[in-house]
Amino acid sequence: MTEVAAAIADRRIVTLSALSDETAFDRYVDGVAETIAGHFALKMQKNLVARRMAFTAWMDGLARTARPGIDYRSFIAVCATLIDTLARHRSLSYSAMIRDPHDRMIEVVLKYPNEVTALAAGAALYDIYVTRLTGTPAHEALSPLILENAASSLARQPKAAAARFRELLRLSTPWS
Amino acid sequence: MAAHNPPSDDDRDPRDARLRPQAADVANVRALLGEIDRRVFAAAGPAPGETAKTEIERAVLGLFSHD
Repeated sequence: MTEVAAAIADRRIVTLSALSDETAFDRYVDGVAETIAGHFALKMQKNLVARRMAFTAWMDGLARTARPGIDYRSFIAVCATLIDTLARHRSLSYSAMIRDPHDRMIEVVLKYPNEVTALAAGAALYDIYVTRLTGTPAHEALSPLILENAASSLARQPKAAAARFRELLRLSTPWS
Repeated sequence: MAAHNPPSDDDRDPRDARLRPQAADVANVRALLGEIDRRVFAAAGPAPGETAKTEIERAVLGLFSHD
């Protein structure tokens, strides 16, 4: 077994198929949320019931995904479904330990905790795989205005906004 | 007659079996995600030394490192 295969087998690296397991799904979402919390010096609170419902909705949404053929569009649909389901089920909140009143990015995260986490979770999954494929990250650093626009769009129309996550977050694509 | 409202996420018991996905759905989704892993990203593994933690941190922080 290669080193990568061994890492996949014991889930030390991110794989799509592992995210059909609730524990791995939780671990992935927690990893995203903890990174956001750590970066902005926030404290994260988690709602276990909402997280479980998000996982069930994630399974339900993907089980009903039409699959005439498996290609990169299937992967993009998976990322969009992750964003949609995490935004709909309010499984976490953040509170500020130290707050810089001039930091607009923190304001956006505190105003839209689930939407921001959902967008970050979907975009990170997309970026991880595109980076593996091309060697170049797909993301660019977002301004507070772009993040707020994406988060408020997701709050208003989760499914429609999630489907546009690459456009809203200005992610590059290796597929033409 | 009062309208029936479904319970919110906060009102449910996390042990409620109805919160769990159908086993058939999980198997179906696992197959779908495995197929994407194999067909779309067959040759695309993480860089040497990368772990789930480092890949997630890099991807998330890249979005938020705006000055």
